[in-house]
Amino acid sequence: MKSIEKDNHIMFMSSIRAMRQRRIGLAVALFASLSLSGAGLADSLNFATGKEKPPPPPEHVTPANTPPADGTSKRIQITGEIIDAWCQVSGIMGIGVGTGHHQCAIWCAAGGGPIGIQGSDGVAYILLKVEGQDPIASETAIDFETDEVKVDADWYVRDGTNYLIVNKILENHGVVNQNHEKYGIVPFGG
Amino acid sequence: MRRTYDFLRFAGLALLFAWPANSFAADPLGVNGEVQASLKGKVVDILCEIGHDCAPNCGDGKRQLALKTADDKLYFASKSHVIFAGLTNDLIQFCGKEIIADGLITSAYGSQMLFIQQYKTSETGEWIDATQFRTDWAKAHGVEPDSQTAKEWYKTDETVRAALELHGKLGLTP
Repeated sequence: MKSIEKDNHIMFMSSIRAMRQRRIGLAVALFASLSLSGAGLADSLNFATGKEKPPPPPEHVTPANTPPADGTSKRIQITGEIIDAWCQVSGIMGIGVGTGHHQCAIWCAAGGGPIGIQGSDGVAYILLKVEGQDPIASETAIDFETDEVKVDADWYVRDGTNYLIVNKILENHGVVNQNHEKYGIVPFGG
Repeated sequence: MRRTYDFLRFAGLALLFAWPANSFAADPLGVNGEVQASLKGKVVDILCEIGHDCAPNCGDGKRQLALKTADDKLYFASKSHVIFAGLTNDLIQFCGKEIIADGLITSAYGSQMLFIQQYKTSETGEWIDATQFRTDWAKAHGVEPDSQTAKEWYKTDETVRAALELHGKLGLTP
């Protein structure tokens, strides 16, 4: 290669490398600023998957049943999806329900995270017991993740959180909420 | 470029969950209804508190736990400082005892929960990072708690693998 051509080639390759480094630097800075400023890990994850951004949670939810009085429980039947309650309530993964979040729900359930039911009334209920079994890292609870179920349960409300003691799972419809094509698989993509 | 994004996503998550807890208090995450919280409270079994169904040692790590503060409020303790892991491994040793916890309260869909990032057992005590799950998992699997295998425990955990092999990552495999 002639000297001038060689110099031009080196300059060209250097500029390509510099562009790549700038892009990576920009992405690192963007990600770090989003994460560390608390602007939303969920936002950055959704940005990364390139899929549709899920809607934010409603400002208020109204339970389908009249809540029990303080210090008491109420027997109810409710239909909803078995969820990883931390991801759903916190919104940290963007989506906390459906097939797009199923793998994450398995990870969290195995890690001892709280299992819940996202009721059809919009309320996230925390499960304290399921058919006599304690819920943490329970094989039954892990196996039910993302399934749509109808349960008979005792409902408690205490200090801003809804809890259920599930007496019986009346119906299990399997995985119904198929949202992976719309929102992608979170986190880390497919 | 995709590899770069994958790396950045993992690096960001790892940074958020593995950031040294004593570097600053209650790292914000931007979660729903986020409130930074420093709470002093007794570790209690929620089922015992509200349903009067009590078990020895708060259920030995199989039940949901909460912090009960002096004003009789329950804060459902749900998330530790280990990626994809709950708090029971950290809190069960303090069943019935008081701790001081530093973290975030998140709320949405009619419920709220507490993410504890660090805790201490007295005002003058040392802050302890809420990472007992990783320590216990590493011990059970014969690896170091700071090893990559322990940090990415969910990739090799046998319970996870069995569940994903059974129903697939979307849960749709019958």
